Amino acid sequence: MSHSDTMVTTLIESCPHIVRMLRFSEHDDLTHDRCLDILWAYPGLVEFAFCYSEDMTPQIEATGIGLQELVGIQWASGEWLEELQVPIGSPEFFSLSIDEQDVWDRAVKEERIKEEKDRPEAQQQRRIDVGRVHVMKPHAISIFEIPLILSLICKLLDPVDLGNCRQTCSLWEQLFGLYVWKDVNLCSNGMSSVEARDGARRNADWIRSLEINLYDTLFECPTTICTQFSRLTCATNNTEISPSAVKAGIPDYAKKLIIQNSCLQTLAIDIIKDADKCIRQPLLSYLKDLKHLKSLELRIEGMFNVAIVEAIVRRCSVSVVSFAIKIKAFTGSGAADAPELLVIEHVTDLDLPAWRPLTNPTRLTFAVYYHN
Amino acid sequence: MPVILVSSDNQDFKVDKEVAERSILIKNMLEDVGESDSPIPLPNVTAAVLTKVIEYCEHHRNDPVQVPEETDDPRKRSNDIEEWDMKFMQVDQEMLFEIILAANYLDIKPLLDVGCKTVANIIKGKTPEEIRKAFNIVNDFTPEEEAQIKKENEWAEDR
Repeated sequence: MSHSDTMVTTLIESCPHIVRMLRFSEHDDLTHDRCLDILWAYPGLVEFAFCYSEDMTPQIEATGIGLQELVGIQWASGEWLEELQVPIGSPEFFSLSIDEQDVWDRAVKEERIKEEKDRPEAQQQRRIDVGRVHVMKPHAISIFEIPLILSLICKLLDPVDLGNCRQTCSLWEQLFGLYVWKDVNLCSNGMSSVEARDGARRNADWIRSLEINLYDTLFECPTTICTQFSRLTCATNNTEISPSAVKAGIPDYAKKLIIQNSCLQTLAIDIIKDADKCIRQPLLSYLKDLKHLKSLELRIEGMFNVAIVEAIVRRCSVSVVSFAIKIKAFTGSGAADAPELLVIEHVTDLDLPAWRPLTNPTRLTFAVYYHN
Repeated sequence: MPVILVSSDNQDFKVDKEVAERSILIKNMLEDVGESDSPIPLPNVTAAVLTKVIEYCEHHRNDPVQVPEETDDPRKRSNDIEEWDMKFMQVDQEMLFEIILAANYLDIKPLLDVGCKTVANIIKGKTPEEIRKAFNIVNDFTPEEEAQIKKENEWAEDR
């Protein structure tokens, strides 16, 4: 992998929630494909800047332009331009767009551009011809197309209003899609219809928080979708679990959701019945590979083997583990077989009274520290 | 000490420093530049919009710094607009949008919030067709697409 491949992969995996600004130096050698990767990973990005000179004076700064437009310009240029100049600070700056004619013109003149590129004077100043970019009038700027403003408005709307906005036109379908599909609970009544679930599949890219019933056969999630959510809650919701399901442990689709999602930061598991049998082995085997996981929440009814709790704490590399489990004792306080585990805080003997799952559970939080 | 702001159409506005500093953009500019009589160009704000923004900042010149109330449900807060602010926002839609854009550009969070609340209140409780009318949106869906999205959205009502 090139430097930019590694950098972008690391960035997307470690910082899935950037919505405001990304800046790159010219030494980052950002390629067209990597920019597209960023575009997919951060669809709501407001500001994007790159290519700074040695003295850190911004040569190119696309603040406010929106990554989509920037990539659009680069795409239309027919090649990845090393230098792009846009009129920063002017009202038109916020509304650059490319029409198909520009793309066509670029393709026709590709040969000439290549020739010019090789000439020294062209290398000195290779800039996109801003006149070729269709500039919309400032009054055509829609506040809804500025992600920060859109997010402020959407926070004030309820799901029904958001859904109604999404139904108005294709542009608003895209703009409001994230806010309609950001938090999806597949256990809710509204998600019981086939259409709603098809919608969840179709809009999987927008989902950031997903709640599933582990043994719900209606939702078979293809591995290619739902790969960008940061929180996954697995529940059983009083489902009668067949002996064969118990034996099988965590279902395949849930397994894929957990393992193949590099953005996953919080894994919450609500298990009501047969917890020990259902989750012990699969959970232990997954945890050691989930390097990107930051928080693990277990809410489990019934007695839970102390040894398993200790094994979970030792195996996972998360920074916060929460347990709401009926448990007799916990002896762990760092161990020789868990060298990365420095200390576990607030560990007390537990003998919780009859605990009602999903309704104000008593929670014990372990803060796990690491050696640097 | 007064500060001179210059709108995109080259109109000068003389305002008190504490009023101008309701804008974080201008506040930072003044801090960076230091003591200076130089006018501050605001190329993204017209005179008409700047007049409204200054009116807002004048009225709220003594307001304390806004602290975000993270525990509050933001969905319940679109109705808590002060009476003066509500009257202030009774402008045509183009001006409303221009004020929001200016508040965003000048980084005046309280004004941006009031503007967004006003827009949210316009949307609330309306059907898709009513929203289209309110914002002059052209429905470019095919009937099939519209039916599909409508069906998909039904789940949101039961959340």
